Amino acid sequence: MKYRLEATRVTADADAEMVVPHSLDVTCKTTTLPATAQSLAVSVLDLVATRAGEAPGSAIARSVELAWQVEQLGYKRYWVAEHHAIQGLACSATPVLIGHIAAATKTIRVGSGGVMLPNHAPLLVAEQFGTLEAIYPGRIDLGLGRAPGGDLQTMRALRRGLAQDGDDFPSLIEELRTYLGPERPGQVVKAVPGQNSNVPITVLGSSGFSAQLAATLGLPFAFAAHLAPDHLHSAARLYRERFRPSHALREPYLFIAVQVIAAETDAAARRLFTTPQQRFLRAIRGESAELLPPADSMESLWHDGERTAVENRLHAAIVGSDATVQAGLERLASDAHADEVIVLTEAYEHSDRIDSYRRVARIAARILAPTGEAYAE
Amino acid sequence: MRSDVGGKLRLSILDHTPVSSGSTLGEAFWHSTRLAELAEQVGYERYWVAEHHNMPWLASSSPAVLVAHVAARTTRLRVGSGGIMLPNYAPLAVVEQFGMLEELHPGRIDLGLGRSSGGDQIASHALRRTDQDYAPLLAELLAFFRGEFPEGHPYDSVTAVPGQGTMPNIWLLGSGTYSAQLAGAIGLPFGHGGHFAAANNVAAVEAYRQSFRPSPALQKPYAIVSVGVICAETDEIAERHHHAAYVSTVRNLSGTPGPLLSPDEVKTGPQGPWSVAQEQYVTELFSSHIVGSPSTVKTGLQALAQRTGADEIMIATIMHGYQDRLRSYELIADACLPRNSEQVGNTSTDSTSTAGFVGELRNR
Repeated sequence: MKYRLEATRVTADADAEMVVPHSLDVTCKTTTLPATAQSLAVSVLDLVATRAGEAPGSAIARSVELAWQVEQLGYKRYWVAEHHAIQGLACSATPVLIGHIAAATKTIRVGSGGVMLPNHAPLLVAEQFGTLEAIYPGRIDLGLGRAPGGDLQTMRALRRGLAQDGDDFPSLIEELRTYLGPERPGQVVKAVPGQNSNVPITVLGSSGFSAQLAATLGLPFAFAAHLAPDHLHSAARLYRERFRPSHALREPYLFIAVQVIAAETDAAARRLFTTPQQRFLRAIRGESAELLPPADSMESLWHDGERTAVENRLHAAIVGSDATVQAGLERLASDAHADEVIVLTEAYEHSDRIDSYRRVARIAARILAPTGEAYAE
Repeated sequence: MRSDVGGKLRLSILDHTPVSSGSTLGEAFWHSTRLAELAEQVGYERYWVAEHHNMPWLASSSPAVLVAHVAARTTRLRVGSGGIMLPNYAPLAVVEQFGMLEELHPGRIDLGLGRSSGGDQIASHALRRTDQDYAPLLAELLAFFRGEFPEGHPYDSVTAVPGQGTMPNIWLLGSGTYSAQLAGAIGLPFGHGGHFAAANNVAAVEAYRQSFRPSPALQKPYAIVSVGVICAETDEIAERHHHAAYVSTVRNLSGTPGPLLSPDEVKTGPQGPWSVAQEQYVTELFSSHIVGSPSTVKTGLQALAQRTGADEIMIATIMHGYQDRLRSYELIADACLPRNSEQVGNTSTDSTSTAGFVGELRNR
């Protein structure tokens, strides 16, 4: 049940280099993640976006309703993100949200997508997720990222080391795994609860660095294609190539998070898509990230430079009728070998959002997931 | 408005989520929700969870998560932290957690704040505990809730989402006179940790009242004193449980920690050797507990309220056996709380005797 990883220097695309910590003992219970012939697994990513003028509590209530709905629809997981001090995103206290959503559902896995580990003491994260796992055994996921989830002043307010650029992410993960794994001989500080809870960890990322880290540690990897579509294929390839089996995971398991909006027709879906387009546009301008109603056209709202920036950011989005979305998801499954798609749907109207998730559930059921053999190539 | 007026005690619960031998942490948490349901039914004023780290007999290390868990399963009970150990966190993180809880359960959340660590030194290090002074941390926390950083302050552009504008009731907790005076000086309600610092019960409440200055949050001082209690059908049964808790605590503090032992396990289990110093410490700690039958406990609680002038007594029951613990709180409620049908059947927090107080606190 034990693996020992010696110090390893891994060089990514020249720009990213990382050192995996010395003598990393990895002991984990084997997580059974589906990998063979069956329907494409789908999950939900929620940023708990508020509408202009809406209180966070109201947006969270819609998230709870959505979680309940997607549980019925067969989605595997409901992940909430971590963002700080961003007007319009009510997902700052991730563990509290997870507890609230898990309390309102019965079977769906609930987790973080993700906890930005450098913002927190690993012991606290272990205790929080250990508590959740003790209350909801077998239902809690812990996705970990290294981004700040907020601006520079917010990082400072969170007491995140300002010199820190995420390089200590591997050692923080190691520390966290000490608290979530079995107690080691002579271990002085224990997570109560948390110790030996073996809450499944997924590494989140949008670059080759995190892909290689996940691969080296033998952990599932979730790529944020909704944020960094350009790096999707290179990161996915790196992850599979460098993957080393661990007791946590024998074969690579790749999640791809992507914006998906499905509607009756392509035109109707594209209209709903103007909500995330406007949100990104406002983000570029440094304005609040609140949800705005769909616009008939974006032409009057952005100028060319802004349009390019928004489209670059959102070009992995899968938007359209059922047929269009099916083609898009199939491509994602086959080209990038996604084992599971994490669906982010930022529609303004709750009914449109639920309708889209309902369509995607039906579509995913028709798509065959790539088989284990495909990974071995 | 003191708890001893008219012989009526105002009581509340401090839950450490104790872990009993032979049961899981999950069972401990689900027991906490049963206790909270009971608290709501029988008229306890509030239900707080403690913060402790690296102690295998206490499962309450993540108060915010636990408050979410308990609040989701009750409807009108006030739920909160007793307390969040502020130097263990970035103030913004606490504001986000409790701002979110207040959003989810408006008007029901208390944020009790302490300045100890809730763990040993190594655990404190692992928690990245700050050595920053407490008062500036508290000021930072309040400024995030109120959105009141002065212009030019590094954080004046940082908005707690949620948190800004959704402040729960803030309490300062202490075990000496520092927090008592601080709470008084800025006009906040105060909780004294009498369950571990009983020697300072009177001095702390007195210091609080003397230093109290009315604030928009609170017109008149309001003080809670906590106390360790074990209640059972008879004095003898209660003493038996208390002895088991005593032996468990001595063992836990002597370097061989584990879940709480049952009275039977204590009889047959290892008797030490324990450290004499730890034994003396625990003996003194446990001597302040109120232990016995319902009438014994009632007398003890009334005397405590009388002696300290506390507005409310908060009961911390750390013992083996979830049923026995639940029963302890139930027996105390039967003996001490007015349990008429209106109160039990009422669905509004306004039905509690602290309606005016809560109203004062919320008037911001």
